[in-house]
Amino acid sequence: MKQFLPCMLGTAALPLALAASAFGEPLPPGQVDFGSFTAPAGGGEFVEVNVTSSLISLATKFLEKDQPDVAKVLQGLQLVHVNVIGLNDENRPDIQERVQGIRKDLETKGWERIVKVQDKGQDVGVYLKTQNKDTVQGLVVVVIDGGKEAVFVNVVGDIKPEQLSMLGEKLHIDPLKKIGKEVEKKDSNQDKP
Amino acid sequence: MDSNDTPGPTSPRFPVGSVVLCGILVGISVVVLGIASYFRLSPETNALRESAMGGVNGTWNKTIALNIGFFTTGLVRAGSHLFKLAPEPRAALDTLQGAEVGVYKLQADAGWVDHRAILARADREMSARGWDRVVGVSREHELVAVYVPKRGLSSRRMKCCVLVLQDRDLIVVGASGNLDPLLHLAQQRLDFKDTPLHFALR
Repeated sequence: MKQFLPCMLGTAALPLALAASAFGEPLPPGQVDFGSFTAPAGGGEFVEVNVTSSLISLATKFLEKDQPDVAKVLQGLQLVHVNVIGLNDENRPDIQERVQGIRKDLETKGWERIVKVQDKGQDVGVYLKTQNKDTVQGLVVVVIDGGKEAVFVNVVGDIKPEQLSMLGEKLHIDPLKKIGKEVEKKDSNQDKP
Repeated sequence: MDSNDTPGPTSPRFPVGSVVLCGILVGISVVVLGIASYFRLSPETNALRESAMGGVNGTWNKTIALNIGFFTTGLVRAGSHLFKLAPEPRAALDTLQGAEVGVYKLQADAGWVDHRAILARADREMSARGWDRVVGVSREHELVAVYVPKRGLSSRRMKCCVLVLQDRDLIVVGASGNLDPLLHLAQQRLDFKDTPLHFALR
């Protein structure tokens, strides 16, 4: 009897654990599932980069001596995901529809659109997921560039808005510099009475 | 008691000659297997190769398939300490713990190659082995994919597999090592304050 009860509990717990794992772990707040993309037919461009925290920590180690402030920001990142899809007549409607769907989904889930540009064939949307006012949990950039390619970027991690701008300055990432400045401008407008 | 009744010395259970012969056979087997292992790729690199070859119609010719494992690189590392080496090759030797490469050429023109199918198949095969794709690039006649283990990755235990398919040439590479010596050298040699780091510039 003494052994029977733990055995019963273990047997009962097993399907519950399996069921829980079947639903999968929830994504971190700043992570967005763009869905899976496949290389376009006919040899169009396809780039997918998925840098996880283990690789980011390697880069952190590389920079911590000479660029400690950059290393500190990188330490807070969990994931950098980039997709670049070449557009052709076959996949353009589907990708454009997915872009619109992703944007609507982001706005529904509380992501704040901080940049929207539709100019000279470029359609750019930048979204931030924030916790309180101090911390950015995630950043999403969705771009359709002149009907030639679509770009999806998701940066996940505990980063502060002022760090975005600093990261852009130090690493010469122009889009990130602009995003950081937009965020700072937005915050300073909100702080004004 | 009769002295004739005392038992004589017992014969050994295993004759010495048999033991020596077995030892020689085992030694030869180890040597043969060891030499054969230099020309066999690891399961992950093999899976990448099969994924690419399976997505292309035609016959592939092997140019070279070479695998240098932990034991050989360890011997080379140990031997290199007998010589004075410059810091760069020293760091490279101390970093590398295993390397393998397979180069294959398609006999005839493959025509259009379905990179989507190759990537999908490679992702499936590698995921089953506990590896994730971190980079995938596909252009008209080029496909590059880089895989790293899902778990257990650190600067001291770095592993990666790379697939490159360009026109009729297929190259699969696997490497493992300890990046600390290289990182240390790079930190000493590179001054990031003066070196511009350009990312995402068009």
